[in-house]
Amino acid sequence: MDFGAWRAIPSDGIFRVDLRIRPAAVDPRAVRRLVALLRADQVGSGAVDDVMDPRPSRALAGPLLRAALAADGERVTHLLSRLVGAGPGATPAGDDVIVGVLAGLDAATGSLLPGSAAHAARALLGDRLRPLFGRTTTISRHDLTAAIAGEFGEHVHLLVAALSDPAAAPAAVAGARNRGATSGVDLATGVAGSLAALVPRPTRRRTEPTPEPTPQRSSA
Amino acid sequence: MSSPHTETLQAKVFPRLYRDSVALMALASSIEKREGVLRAGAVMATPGNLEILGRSQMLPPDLTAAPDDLVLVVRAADEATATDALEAAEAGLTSAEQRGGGSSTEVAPQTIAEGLDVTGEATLATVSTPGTYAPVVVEQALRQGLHVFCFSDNVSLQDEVRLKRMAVDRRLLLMGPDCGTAVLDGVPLGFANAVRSGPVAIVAASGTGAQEVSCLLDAAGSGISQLIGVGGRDLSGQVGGLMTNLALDLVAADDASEIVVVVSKPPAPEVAERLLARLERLGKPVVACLLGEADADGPVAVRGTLEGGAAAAAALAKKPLTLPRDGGDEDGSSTPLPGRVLGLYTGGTLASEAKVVLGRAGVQAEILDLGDDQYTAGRPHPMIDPSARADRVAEAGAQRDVGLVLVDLVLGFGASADPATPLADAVRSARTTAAADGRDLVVVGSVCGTAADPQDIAAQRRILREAGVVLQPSNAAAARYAVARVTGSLTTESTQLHSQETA
Repeated sequence: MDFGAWRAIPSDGIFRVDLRIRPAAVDPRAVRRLVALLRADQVGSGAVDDVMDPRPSRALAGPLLRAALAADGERVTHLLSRLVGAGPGATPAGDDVIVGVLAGLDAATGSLLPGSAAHAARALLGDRLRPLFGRTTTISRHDLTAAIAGEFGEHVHLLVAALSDPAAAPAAVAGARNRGATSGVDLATGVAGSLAALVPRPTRRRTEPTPEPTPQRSSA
Repeated sequence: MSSPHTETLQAKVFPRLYRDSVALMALASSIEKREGVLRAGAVMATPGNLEILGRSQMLPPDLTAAPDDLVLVVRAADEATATDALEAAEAGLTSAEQRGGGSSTEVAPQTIAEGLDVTGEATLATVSTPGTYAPVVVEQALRQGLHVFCFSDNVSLQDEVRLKRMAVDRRLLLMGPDCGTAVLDGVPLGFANAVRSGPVAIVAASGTGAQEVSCLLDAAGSGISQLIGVGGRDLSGQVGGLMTNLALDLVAADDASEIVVVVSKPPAPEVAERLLARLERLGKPVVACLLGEADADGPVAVRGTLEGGAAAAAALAKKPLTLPRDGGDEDGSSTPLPGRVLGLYTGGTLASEAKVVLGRAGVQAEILDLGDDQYTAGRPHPMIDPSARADRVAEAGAQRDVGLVLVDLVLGFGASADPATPLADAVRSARTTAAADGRDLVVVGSVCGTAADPQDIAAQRRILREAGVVLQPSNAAAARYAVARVTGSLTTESTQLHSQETA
């Protein structure tokens, strides 16, 4: 790539964009609503051994965050090795889930999680993730590297914004559905599905309304 | 399901091939639907995915692939079916590549430099990025020796001055920022009409103003040599007409340009003085169409309306502008219309022209430019998405104090494919609402376009007329008709155009 033209720009012409996710006042209702909406997404056969099905990867979001918070390095490595490079897409579903978990962790720091626990979990995830980079695609490696550095794309920021506002959940999930075939929902499940493990349930019974299941994606 | 003994598993690896996930999902699903295919997968060949394939007996034992490779696997009832399915899938991947669709190996250039690599002979770049990024792209283009058509707005005045100085130093056009219209050597850019070629060069600091002038010239049987937009702020004190001056140099030297029209809102006084001095020495007949200025004849013909400017230029081109009366009030009522005039415009300069005509006649009116930032609020410009204006027109039916609504309809490249229909629906709705309240709401308008425009101007006019819109042959004529109706001075002459403009 030739970046010469960019270097020619006077420094006051360069806009630096902060891609880090700020701690948010995560609202448990928003997390539950996101999870309920995301659960309605039906892709693939549902079989654990179907390589085109992203759901086995999505199901690991909660366990991964719990293992990281428990400082269980061995389990973190085990879960990451099941996620990295696994599933459909140029950014395999498992990688999108990992990016989502890291984003959710950053957003929940200070509200659902004390800062010290979040920082330790983040460091552990980064340490165990880097050795696995060779197991995924170049595009995913780029996303994961940025996520470990705490930097996320605009679409991740939009999702994270819905964590503190239950009313924003439907639009955020609709936006996620429009990103790739499964990538957006994989990522959103990484964010919300992992945090769901930290959110107290209001009652023992399930009170969330179950959204209408969306029809299976056609091959059009 | 066939017996596992006759089943066959085939795979194909595409080294370092990326397709987006939507394409891969669709591909796998379409393979799976083929007769005799039991299962299919299309994934990146990461160790994780190879493991999953292995667990589901979908991994051929001899397969070697790396994480950046794409692998297609098919389990089918027999060899031939599997082979056919893989071939079809491969064809699907290749056609996606040829279309450039669903491919992450993008062929569309992403930067000015990449664009030049693809089309080495480009002489002009159009810039339509969010305003924040536009200066960077404009500067890159200028450094590469390209003229620039900058559709982007929200560029700071400081950047505009800096970049225009840079362009002038290089003798390159920087049309804009916020330039809506240009036609260079017959190539339309932005919102432009299919105007026939002719002897008139237009240099315009106003988009729809230039469109109206060029369409009226076309209607007069004349045409344009060049239409150079310079951006709405070019004749402000700060920019000082940097690009207008360069454009005038170019048209002065252009043999095809025999007559020059400058279209703008009245410039800053110090700029106006320099501009008029410059125009007097141009060496070609010049019309300065400065909205709201008093008409004056001298070395430079000054006209205060777009129609006046077009008529003066048409007269110079020996093609006098005599537009037919397109329609009007059948009963020729001379009773002043009760209620006020409300203008709901999509074209900013057309709105300004209406204000000028109404103001000259001493008629109070509320004229809104719905393309202005304060009304668009993140929605597309009403020339692209007519619905916002249509909503306003429909609402006007319930405003009891409104007696007459003035509208425009802009056709041409870049404009909505059928702007008349939503406007006509809204007019019907507004007139029905008013009628239910015992009022007659008059809607008057004009269509800015040419017979060669993609929308079919005759059909667009018919749609409006059928909805009850009183159509006039120009925007100024529509405004004059509004004056005549609200003052009760309607005569059959009301739409006669500048009959004094005869060479």
